[in-house]
Amino acid sequence: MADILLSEAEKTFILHGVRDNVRNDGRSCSEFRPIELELGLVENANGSARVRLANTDVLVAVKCEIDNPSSNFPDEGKLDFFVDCSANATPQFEGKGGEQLAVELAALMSRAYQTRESFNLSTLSIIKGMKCWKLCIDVLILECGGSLIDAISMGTKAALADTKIPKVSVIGSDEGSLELELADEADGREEPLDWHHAPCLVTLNKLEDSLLVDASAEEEACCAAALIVGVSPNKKITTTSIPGHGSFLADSKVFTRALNLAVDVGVKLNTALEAAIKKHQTLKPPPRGFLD
Amino acid sequence: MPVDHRRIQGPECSEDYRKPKNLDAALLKKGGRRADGRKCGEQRKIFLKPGVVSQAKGSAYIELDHTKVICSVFDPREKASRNVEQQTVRGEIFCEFKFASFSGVQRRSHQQEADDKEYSLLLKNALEPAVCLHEFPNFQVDVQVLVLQDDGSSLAAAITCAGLALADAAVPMYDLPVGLSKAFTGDTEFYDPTGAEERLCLRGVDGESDHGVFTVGFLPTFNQVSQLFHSGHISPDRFEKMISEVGTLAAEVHKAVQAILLSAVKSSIDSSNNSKLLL
Repeated sequence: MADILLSEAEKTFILHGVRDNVRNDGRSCSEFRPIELELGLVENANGSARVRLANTDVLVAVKCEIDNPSSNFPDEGKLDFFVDCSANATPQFEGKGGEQLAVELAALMSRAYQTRESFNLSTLSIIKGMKCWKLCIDVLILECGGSLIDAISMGTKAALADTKIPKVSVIGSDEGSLELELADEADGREEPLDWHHAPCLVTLNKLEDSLLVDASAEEEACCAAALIVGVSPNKKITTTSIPGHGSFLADSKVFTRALNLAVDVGVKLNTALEAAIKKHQTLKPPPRGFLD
Repeated sequence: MPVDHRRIQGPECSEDYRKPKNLDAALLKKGGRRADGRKCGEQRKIFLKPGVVSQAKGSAYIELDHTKVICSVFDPREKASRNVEQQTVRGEIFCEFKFASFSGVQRRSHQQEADDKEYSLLLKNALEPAVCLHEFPNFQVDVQVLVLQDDGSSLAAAITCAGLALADAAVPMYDLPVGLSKAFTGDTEFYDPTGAEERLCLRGVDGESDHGVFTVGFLPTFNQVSQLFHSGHISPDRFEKMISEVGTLAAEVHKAVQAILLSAVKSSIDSSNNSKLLL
């Protein structure tokens, strides 16, 4: 993440506030900052979403391609994550600077979506063993202000909700040669994906005895350890990771609190996100400027 | 590993004719023993040897049955810092994790692929809390891990191996990090899973909702979890229960690593005493 330099006095100020469950911007320790969500921004993508979480701005686009399934899983499609830390976000991301962070984030997202309970890849199969859909999920980080992975996971779920895949039918059954017919957009025969079980990732930062949800960049600079938990809407954990150089006491009380808080917050986040997506899809707000 | 930026590799169109062996889930229910005869909570026999690479400052080799990992640690060298402002009072560990091209059934690229890069980061996060980074400010210590053969738990083996290699290289550390892994599906839990068990638990068995694999990087002396890497579908209570068992499981591996390190130090003292006598 972008480095913030804090003085000892600033760190102490944040710490004292957190002890009383009050943070610099008035939130409690388990509250998210205001989140803005927009769907369907990118014309050339099958689905897209933009999430703005206070200072963090993330644009996620989903493109569908027809591919050959892997020989180990012939009746499943593919899901590919790619994260681009754009130099727009901070000058440290110039050139190869953001590569390590990008790899970490992409790996975390692929792991969160790995199991079929999170995303059923068999729905992406066209012809078993021969053709399948490959969803290329590209994440562009426009601005970096803490809680990157939270924003990315929300954006991915929203972009998948916005994605429409054209219906495919097989015509011509000559031996060895197959022809696929894709329905036109104009025909309206597009089907949505099953995105409802997709997880949201929540980052918990540990500051002394308190756990902070959605830490700002300043708060992240004070915290010793962090825990990222991927939570699906049915209260299951899909992935965990301890980023950075922190460590946790292997005391079950610490993990109990952390996991319970993460699942609690994660489920609420999933519910709120689904409601926002539904509202966006039914109301269809008028088009605005891209970064309005 | 040098990365070739100039050539664009065409898509791979050739494949190995073999498929990785997969486990039949039904076999597990009979007799309570796993495919290789272990009980569910049993660790594979560990072979650990420090000082295997003569050109490296410190090195170690670990074998967990069919999983073979070698690790080399090199002298601290000055960090190439991009920004002058980034000069800090802490050193850095630079981890490079690589599966050898012949380590699995399918041939892997000779350059780092996505999961090699992911594991490099995970390994770094697991090792960093154990190393006294303030002892070598602005320097970086290179840790190169190569998996010669992958039969499950390779990250866990790499953490243990890298810990021993760092100790062999005399890098100042707070504790010897130990890696553990566990795979679970439904009610069955496999401690130190083989490759086939890992693949089974990542896919999940039909009808069983909880499944997954997790790897823990653990510092036994301080009872700290430095890395908790998990993929799967599990309820939080089950997860907590498994983390609480980590301490006792790690103690066994920790004792083995300590004993080996002690005997290595003793034998090096003996050999230096003997060479003094010859003079």
